[in-house]
Amino acid sequence: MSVSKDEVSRIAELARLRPDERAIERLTRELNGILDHIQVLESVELEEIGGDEETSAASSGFRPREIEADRLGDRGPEGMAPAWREGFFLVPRLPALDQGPALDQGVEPDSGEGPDGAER
Amino acid sequence: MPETPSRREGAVGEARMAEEMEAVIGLEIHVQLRTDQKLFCPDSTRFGDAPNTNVCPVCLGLPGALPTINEEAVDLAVRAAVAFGCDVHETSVFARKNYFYPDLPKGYQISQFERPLATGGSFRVRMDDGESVVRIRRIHMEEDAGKSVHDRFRRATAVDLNRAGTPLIEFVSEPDLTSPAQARAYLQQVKRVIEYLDVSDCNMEEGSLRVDANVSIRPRGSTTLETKTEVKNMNSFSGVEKALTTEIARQMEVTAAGGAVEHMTLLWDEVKGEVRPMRTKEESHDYRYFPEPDLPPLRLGRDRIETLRAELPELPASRADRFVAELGLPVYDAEVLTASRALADYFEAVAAQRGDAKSASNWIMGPVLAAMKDVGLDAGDFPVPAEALADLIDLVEGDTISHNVGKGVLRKMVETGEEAGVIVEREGLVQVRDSDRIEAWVDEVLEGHPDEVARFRGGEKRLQGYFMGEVMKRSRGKADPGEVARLLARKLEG
Repeated sequence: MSVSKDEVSRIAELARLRPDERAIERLTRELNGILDHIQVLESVELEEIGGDEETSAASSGFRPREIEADRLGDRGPEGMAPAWREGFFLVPRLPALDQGPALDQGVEPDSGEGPDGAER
Repeated sequence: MPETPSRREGAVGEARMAEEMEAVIGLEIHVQLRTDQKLFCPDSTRFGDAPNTNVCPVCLGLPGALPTINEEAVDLAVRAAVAFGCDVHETSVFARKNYFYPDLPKGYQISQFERPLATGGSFRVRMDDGESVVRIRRIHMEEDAGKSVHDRFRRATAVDLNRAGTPLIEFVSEPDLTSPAQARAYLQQVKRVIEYLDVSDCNMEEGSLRVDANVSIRPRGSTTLETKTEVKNMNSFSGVEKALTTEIARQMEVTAAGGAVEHMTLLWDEVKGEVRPMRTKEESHDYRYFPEPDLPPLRLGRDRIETLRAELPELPASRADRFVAELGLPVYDAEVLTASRALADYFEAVAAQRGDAKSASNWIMGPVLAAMKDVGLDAGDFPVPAEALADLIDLVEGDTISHNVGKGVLRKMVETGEEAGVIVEREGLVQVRDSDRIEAWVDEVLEGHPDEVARFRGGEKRLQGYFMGEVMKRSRGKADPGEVARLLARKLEG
């Protein structure tokens, strides 16, 4: 199994990455190297050892109810928000909703104002 | 660019087209499971909390955070799957569904793909003109995304991630539905079963139950599946029916004009009554599903599945059948009374106390449902306990109070929480059957309305009802109506 340069470009596009031609060639080479390695791993005879079903049978434990959620630290979600207002993360409006900026233009970090100085 | 399919509801395609073509509809129903913790972390799932207060490193997908599975959510999902006749698999696998959207903080949703929790169920949809079977392709578990709020700020979308990670099950039906009305009935009846199972509160306003539809059209008799569109944002039962009607008409119009239906996702606009394109539909492989590396396969012992199956409550269809067969209720009554599990429980408790199902049914289907509607409560929250209602019905059936007075007493019971006997005693509502007292009221009314009496005697017999009403008013509803009618007839005709 191998991937083509077109497939790598398509995956990059879905991941919102824009590698240039040289990077695509390098990524295609590296991904195919990984796939070759997986092919080697797949050739290992596992019948007597048992597959994934058996080896991880003991590890499907559920979460005990009494565990509490980990805290986000003193700054809370606001601390990691590029833009924040009234408890909400702010992002540009979807182009489909109006003629606002496209989503993958991103949100500029600012002082708490919304993107484009969002107002109520 | 896809053709813009914006069109008004009601602009139905050519009649001939409608006769020759049929709709093919499959529904994907997302149901939020009734757990107090999220699926993969212990954050609260409470609705209505301040935004972004129920978030943690796991549901935000911060580096190093690891998901763990909520056992209660799994049990609820299995309960739903066995109730819908699915084959629940002892091993299922969580998978990452990768896409970008502002309310998906991890950049992927943990769902199930190649190995879902359950497959191959079926559901009987009852409609006035008969039953049909809808096959359920699969039921899988997944986490919800956060919520994008588009109307809070003028130029930005607000994102609340409290909902991110809330447990869902997705029911995917086969495309076995052939009309918007049937799709609506299917959805309503699936919702009723889920409520009976106590798997979800199914509150559509709060988003606990959401539905997307896949729609296509084809010539009647054909078995080929044509290009479908996906319709989203239908937030009510009537919305589902209207949106599907609109989209089917649009597809017929496109086809009639010689065009081809394009594969796309459409948003239903309830206010404008139209469907609008959302985005060109991504093929499923564009989500780049792969097994979730942070979670082992979900393994359920056969014993666990069978225990959950054995614990299933009686479901609405069989309960309605039992009400007809064992309690002798008409089919209509049985359907109304099994609309919710709480209502059916309430009815059965009243009927058991009185030993008379029909009077319990009449009271609940009439004054009680009206009172529930007035105060905006359902049977689970109704302030009149079953025993108290049974006592009230006893007072009416035993002729202690009239039926009309009984309805008034019920309203007071709802308002005050008092028992019927207390209200009747305090307000002196015991029915008067003393002929002398009733005759005095009748005489007062006839003397006070000489013109009407003359008109009655001149042939306006419908005034009988007017006199009846006046006497009952004078007696504050307490006069025995039979005795009033007898005395009125005697005095007016005599």
